[in-house]
Amino acid sequence: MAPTVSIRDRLQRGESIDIRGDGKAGGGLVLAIQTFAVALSQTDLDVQDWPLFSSARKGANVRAYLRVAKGEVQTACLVTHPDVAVLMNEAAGDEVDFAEGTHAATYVVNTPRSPEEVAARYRLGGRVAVIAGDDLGNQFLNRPLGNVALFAALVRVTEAVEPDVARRALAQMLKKRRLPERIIDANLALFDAALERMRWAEVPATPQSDHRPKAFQGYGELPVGAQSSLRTSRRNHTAGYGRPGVKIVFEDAAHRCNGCSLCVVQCPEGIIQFEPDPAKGTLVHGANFDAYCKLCRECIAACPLDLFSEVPVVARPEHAA
Amino acid sequence: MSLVQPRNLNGPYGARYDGAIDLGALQARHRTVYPERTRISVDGNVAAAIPFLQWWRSPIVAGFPITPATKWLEYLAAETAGDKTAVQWEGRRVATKRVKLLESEHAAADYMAGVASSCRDLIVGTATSSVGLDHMTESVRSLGASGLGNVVLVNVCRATANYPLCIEGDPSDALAHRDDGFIQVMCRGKQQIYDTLLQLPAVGLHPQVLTPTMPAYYGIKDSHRSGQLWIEPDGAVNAFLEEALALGATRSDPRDQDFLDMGVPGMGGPPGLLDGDTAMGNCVTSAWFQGFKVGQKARIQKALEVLPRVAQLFEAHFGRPGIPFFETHRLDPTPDVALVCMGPDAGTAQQMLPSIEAQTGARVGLVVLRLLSPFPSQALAHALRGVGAVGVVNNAHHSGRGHLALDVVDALAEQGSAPPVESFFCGLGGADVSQATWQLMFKTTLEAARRGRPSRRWHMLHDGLELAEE
Repeated sequence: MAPTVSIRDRLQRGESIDIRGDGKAGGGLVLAIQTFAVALSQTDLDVQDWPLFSSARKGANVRAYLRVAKGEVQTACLVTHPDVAVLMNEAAGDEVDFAEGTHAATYVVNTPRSPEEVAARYRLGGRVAVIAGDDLGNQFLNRPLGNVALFAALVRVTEAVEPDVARRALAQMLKKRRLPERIIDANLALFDAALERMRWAEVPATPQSDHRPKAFQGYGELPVGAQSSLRTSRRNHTAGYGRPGVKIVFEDAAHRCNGCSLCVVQCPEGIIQFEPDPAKGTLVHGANFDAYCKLCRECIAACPLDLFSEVPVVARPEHAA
Repeated sequence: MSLVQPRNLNGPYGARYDGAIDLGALQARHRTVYPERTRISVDGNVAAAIPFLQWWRSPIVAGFPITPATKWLEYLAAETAGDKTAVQWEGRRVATKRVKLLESEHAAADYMAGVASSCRDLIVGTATSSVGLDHMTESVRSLGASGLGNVVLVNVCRATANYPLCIEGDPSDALAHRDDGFIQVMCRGKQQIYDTLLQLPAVGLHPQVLTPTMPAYYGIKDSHRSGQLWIEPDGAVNAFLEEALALGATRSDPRDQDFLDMGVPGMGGPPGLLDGDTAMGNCVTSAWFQGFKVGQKARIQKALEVLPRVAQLFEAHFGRPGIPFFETHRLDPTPDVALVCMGPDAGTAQQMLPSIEAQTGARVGLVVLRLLSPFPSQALAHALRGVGAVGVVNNAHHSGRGHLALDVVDALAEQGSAPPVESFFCGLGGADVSQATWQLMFKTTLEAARRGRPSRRWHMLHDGLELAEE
């Protein structure tokens, strides 16, 4: 196949380039995109960057955008057909199609997998770049932070800014955050290593790798949990907000529920399942934990009979996607 | 001994208490933040905050945080907390800039009234949004009538206090407060925000205007989007402001000096202003109230004359256009149709104009509103003269055809011009206004021009789709 035209060449031809990234709140996606924007702005390019703003807590899906062009960037609408799609965290990729709107684009994924494995997993065709950012974070920072590595991968795969200019922009961003010198040095060393370790492959585009979205079909019913919905999630399932490793369960084998309905009133997501009982009132028999429970523990606090409890889980709830 | 101190009644700022604040000392001790012209990446909130660091006339701002305006306050608090804006005086560290945190937005507005009326030569500001602006309403309406042109209220637009709660930007707050008495200017992009802030105090403080100002920009879409900004050096910023403030004191127009003493020519003195001083706290009867409003209305209308003069001076200083009543794109020669809109989404339409013309074979133009209050009706009608149809893009909820649609229809009718006007609603609550939506709006307006009347009273759109029957 013909190699994907590089982002640098397209910018030089006067095209506007749209970049979109998906990740988890607290994972460094926004900082990576912001740093890339600062690096690009050191050139003759005009650049805008912005995050998808939501009430995102650590672990919730987040999204960041960047639009860059040689002339003045005027277009203000959201990035819906990205030229470069970025996946900062593969758990985020379980909940959204990070490649939505793309066809034969450039993809950058923070993963220890090979470009070919990533292409197969996410149905990608085009230029597929991978970087084991979390591993590099562990190696240089003792923390699985992939943001600097992802930034380096963006620099290398797009070729839109020289690595030394990008390195200075990174140093500037870290300095602005008043980080100690040794931490800044460790991040810069990580940046250098990531430039070397990034790999990419040209993968043929096929009908299966076409992620162009369907047309807007209207709003439909307001779903449960829409007030605090994961706006990037396919089904607005707020369970994605929860801390990993635990879940809440309702256990009442002895039919002790007294129908007080305190849990029904307190649950902010309205997910407690119950039936009216002529004798007891509101008889609770469970809740839609897997889809909407944010682990706020209001039900645990409310129940006078301790019928709700938090228990460890090994895997993510199957339906939380 | 009399307890009443004699007041020094010299214009143009009304009653002055000279010496209460040593302005010369304040100016001399200004700590320059940007000594040189600088290009940096900032978001809209920072672009709106930087002028308050650069003006020597702005030693204090008031604040109460509210999304999406919070970063304006956080940025100023961070920048003024260290030594950057402090001086050493008699062996002590003295802050030359302060951020006053209040317990509510209402209190922030009251605080501004206090600072602004204490010294008419200082600029005092705050930033708020949505329900924050609503919570200020009582004080804001008093400020709007007060004659305190030295108040700058930055409105970071957000879908306002209607259900359901939404923290993203639409201009329903700005449009709900159009009659509060402020000069309202909508901005898009970092440079427009910064440049607008630099100019507005000179308009508000003009002795014929004496009206507080409310620069505005869309929350999230502009407040949280980063881009490049040219920052002018402090020296140039302050030199421009001084020269712009002097526009009202040149005596070249005798009304500039005489306004406060004699009132609007032919109308007598403006009731309610005591020697040109603020009317805050005054209670008047029906014998005076309407007369006061005559003066208030005359003052804000004067902004239509003063704003272009300040804008012209701005361009002479900095080489960028000053605040226009509205931007025009491809309006000369007269296009077949034009869309009237405002806010950041206008950029998408601006970029699409050539491709829309290529697709439709028609000539299409774009008007991006900047001055919302006083509304530049006559200039707008003049700009749209001869256009076959007008499409108005409303981004805020309205029970009828839309705030802007009604303003545009009124402006055209006033001039005896009656092209069909299509009204569009999109981008409510900060929703994306996609290219497909812009295409549909241009197409619908072109059809209205051919038909000679609009197809509906209004259209509700998202992503190129009609959402509902009217």
